[in-house]
This record gives sequence, structure tokens and C-alpha cells, in this order.
Amino acid sequence: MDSGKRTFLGALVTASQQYEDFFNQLKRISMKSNNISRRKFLNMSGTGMVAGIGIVSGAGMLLSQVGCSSKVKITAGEVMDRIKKNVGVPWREVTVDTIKGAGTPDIVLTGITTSFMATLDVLEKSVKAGNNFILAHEPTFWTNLDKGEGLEDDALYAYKQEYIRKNGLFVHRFHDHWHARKPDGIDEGWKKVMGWDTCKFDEEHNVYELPQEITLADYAKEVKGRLRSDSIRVVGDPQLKVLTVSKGSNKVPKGGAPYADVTIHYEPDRENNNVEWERDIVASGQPKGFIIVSHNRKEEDGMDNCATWLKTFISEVPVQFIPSGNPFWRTV
Amino acid sequence: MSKQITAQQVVDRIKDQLGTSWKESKTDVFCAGNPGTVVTGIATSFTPSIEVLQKAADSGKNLIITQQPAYYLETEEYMANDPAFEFKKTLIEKNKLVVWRFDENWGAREVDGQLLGLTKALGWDEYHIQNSNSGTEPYNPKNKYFNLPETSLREMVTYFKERLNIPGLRVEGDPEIKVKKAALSHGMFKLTELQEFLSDPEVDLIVISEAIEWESCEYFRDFLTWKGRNKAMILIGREASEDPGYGEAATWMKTFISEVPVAWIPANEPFWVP
Repeated sequence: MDSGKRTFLGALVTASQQYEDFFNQLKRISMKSNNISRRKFLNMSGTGMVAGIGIVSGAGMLLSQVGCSSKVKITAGEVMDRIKKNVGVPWREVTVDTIKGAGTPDIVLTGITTSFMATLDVLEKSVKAGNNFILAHEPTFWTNLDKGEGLEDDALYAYKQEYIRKNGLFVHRFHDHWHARKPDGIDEGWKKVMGWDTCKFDEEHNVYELPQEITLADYAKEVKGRLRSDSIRVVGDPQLKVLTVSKGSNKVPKGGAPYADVTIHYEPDRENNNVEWERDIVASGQPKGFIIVSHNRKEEDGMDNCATWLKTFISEVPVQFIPSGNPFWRTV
Repeated sequence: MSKQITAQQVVDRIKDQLGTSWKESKTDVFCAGNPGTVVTGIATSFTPSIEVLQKAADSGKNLIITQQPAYYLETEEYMANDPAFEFKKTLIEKNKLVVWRFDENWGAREVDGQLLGLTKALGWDEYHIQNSNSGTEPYNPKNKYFNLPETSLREMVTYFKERLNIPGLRVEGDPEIKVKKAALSHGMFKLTELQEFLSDPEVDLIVISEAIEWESCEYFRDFLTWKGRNKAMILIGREASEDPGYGEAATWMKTFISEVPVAWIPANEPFWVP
């Protein structure tokens, strides 16, 4: 390639990067305005990106429309302030509920996603939906504290970080405080999906009474349906009569287990400890059953619940629950 | 009339076999019973579940050698008054059973007995890539890769369920993809091992026991979103992953213990599925 061509291409790349940066700025400004529909805006932005040079005229048009907007904008920081105010418990000094990745509180919001986890798929779906704020219950970079340990040279880690940066996303975890809220926001979603919200509740022992007795085999089928999961696992006699149920810990021994016929819990900590104890409880003659679901199935509905909650005090931008979905399947 | 052998003497003989490679370890210890007990038979297993202990006692074996400890991963003080703990303790005392945990030193041999056991359980011996990472011993812990006949993931999952009798397995990945190079892990799966498997672009089937879900399971899901959905992960469960290795342990012990019968009593998958 001769140097002339190289210079020309280099200039083109630089120019297109500048357009992209300019356009992202513009997107933030213009999304204040509801005069332009989100769909229309996205179509325009798509055209602008592809056409490169054509972006200039598109941008001019957008700016003129933004000029007559009177709608209120809201930033990521402002939404976080409102969450802190509305969650009803003091915000902790030490918490996993922090910004994940490059986002900053001054980002002007176009839409909000709530999710169990900010998986790459959820981030892509959020971008497609025009949501640049992602409120996620669990870690983004696959470890509890999201400090990137062991990921320094990891290409996927770098890619995900860059994806957040280049799309101007604001990703924030919402774990400790959503659990600490009264009632626990995750638990609230879980009870609804399990149909426990209308059951008789023994608060002291954390035990719910089902409307009628059912076998463990039938109850496991019901749970499978309610949680939309074909990968649940069960320990206990399938013919066990079940009247009382409890949301149990994944540790040994379990809170609730001594009082309920069936304990449902997520992700054993670990199978060689937790599940082996369950198996022995059953072998020792205790009339107990255990239903084990994935971490995602246990908590995802609580983030659907979170979207409902956010809508009660955020009206400037759309709020949408985007499921990351159960990671596992089983039935062939 | 054969010579008598005590539980302690069995353990000493195992130490002799391992020679200088034996290391004192907190996971290679007596966890229940009296080491001076005269052994009537040896059972090996992944874990001394109540069911395994009962089967051992019923078949006249009083020394149970396992990877996992007698009372889960907790102390006896912590477990006091727990019905499972109390039942098991009584069962052990009543039948004068001895439980010896054989974990770290079994796993530290040059031949990875856990890898070998699981390979045989899967019927994958002929597909094993020997010397893939370490040239001396075919079943060195690093040589955990397999060239399989190309199969759809859907067919592979059916094969796993039937072959290992594990209806409770779990899968990530598109059932329609074809898989042909597998990486096989046993024990608790770590993100570092997943990174190692994924560094070989040809690996399209990753077989693991269990993992912290938001670590390896979600990393893998993000990887598929990033690079395309042409790989899969099968989680077979901790028991299925570790138990066949204790079949190997029984086979190995028979080569130097002839006084009493030695047999593997599989713990079997703890789950059923609705």
C-alpha cells in the first residue's frame, strides 16, 4: 500500500472515530428530548454510523429538534440518588453495590435495564433497546468484588470493559441494598412467582403453608413450571407429603429445614457438603425434601420486581427488566 | 488363615506405596472410628454417605476410604444434635466402622486416578490425547484432552446421562452444535481452568463437576456471546465427577493389599429430576 492511500485511510479512521464520539455526545444530548421517538432516533443513529459522512446532515437535523425540547433529562447519578433515597435503608460504606466498568454518574440516561446479571447478552440487548443504564443484582466481571483478580490479561474481560466504555453504558450493582430493603426486594419477587405471597406464613420459622398437601414429585413439577427451569434437582422421597415449604440457605445445616417439609435453595455451597448433608438427612429417616435451583432462577424475578419498583419514582426514561435467563438446560 | 491387618496398617502400607511423595495433609486423616480396628474389608467411595456406610457394613467391610470427610465439611461440635450427624455417628459406632479420608495424596500421584477413573467411566480411553501437555505419564493431571468422534451436543448429553446414570446433569450451549474436542475437569472447577481450556480454540466441549455459577458458568456464557455459540459445557455434578476415581483407588489398593477384600461402593448421584 502506498503512503498516500495509507494517509487517506488513516484520516478516514480518525474522522470516523471523531464522528462516533461526536455522535455519542449528541445521543446523550438529544435523548433528553421525547420529541424524537426512541425508535426513530435509533434508526437515524444507525444510518449515521454506516454512512459515516452522512452523519453530519443527520446531526444537524437532530440538533435543530433538540433545540425545541423542554423535557427533563436525568443522569445516572441522579437515578442512583433516588434509589438510595427510596430503598429505605442507609447506604453502606462497604458494599458490592458500586459502578462496574467505565460508566460515570454524569451519563445522561436514555433508558434503564434491570437484570439478574449484566451478562454480555443483557448489555447487547440493552444497547439495542436504547437503555444505557444497567442495574444488575450480581457481579459483572464474574467475581463477587469485581476487582478483576486473575483477569488482568483476559481478552473477554478487556472486551466487556471496552463494550461498556464504547457504548457509554452505566452499569451498577444492586445487591446488598435490594436485599436489605424491607421487604427484601429479591424475596418479594420470589414469593410472587412461587405463589407464596398468598400462603399462610410462619414468620418465626420462615415457613409457608401450601394451600393443600401435595407429593414432592408433584411439587417439584410445579416449581419447575413456576421458575421456567428444566434443570432443577431434587433430593428426597418423591412420594413425600408436602404441606410446608421454606426458602432455605445453601449452607449446612439449613435455616428453615427443621420446620418445613421442603426447603428450596439455590446453588449448593458446595455439592460435596450441602447436598451430601441433605442426602443423609433423608437417609436418616427425616421426612424432608430439598429442591435445588440455579442462582439465577432463585433471584431473577426479584429484578423484574425491581423494575416495577423503579417505575414508581422514575418517569423520565423507560425502565425495563431484561432477563439474563437460566444458564442451564437439561432436557434433550 | 490370612494375616490380620489393622486400619492403621492399611494406611501405613498406602504411605509406603507413595514413598517420598507422601505428605502430611489435613485431608488425609482418620475422621471416625479407631485406627487400631482389625479390618474385615475395605470399601472406597467418593463420600461416606449413610447409604455407603450401610452398604459397606452389610457386605462385611469396616474400613471406608473416601475423598470426603465423615461429617460433611463441618466440625462435630457444629453438627451436634443434627439428625443426619447423630444418625451417622451412631451407625459408625454401632458397626465399629473406621473412616479414613484419602484425598490430597491420592490426587497428587503422577497418574491422576480421578482423571483416569472418569475417563474409563465415560468410555473415552481410546480418545484420550496422551502427552498433550506432559510427556511422561499418559494420565498425568495435565493430559485432560480428548479427540472424540464428532457428535451433536444433544447426542452427547444423552450419552452422558445414560453412561454415567446422571439424569441431574446440567448443560450450557446450543444442543445442535457439533463437538469433537473435549477437555475434562474433575473436582471444584475454577475460572483459571476454564481460561486454560478456552485458550485452545479447538476445545468445544468442556466437562466439569460444579462451579460457582457467577464465575465460570457466567464467564462461559459471556464467552459464547462474544465468540459465537460453538462450544458447550456439561456440568455432571460433584459425585459423578469424583466417584469413578475411587474405583481406581480400589483397583490400585488391590495391588498391595491381599489380606482383605477391597471394593468400590459408588455413592451414586444424590439428585433426581422431576
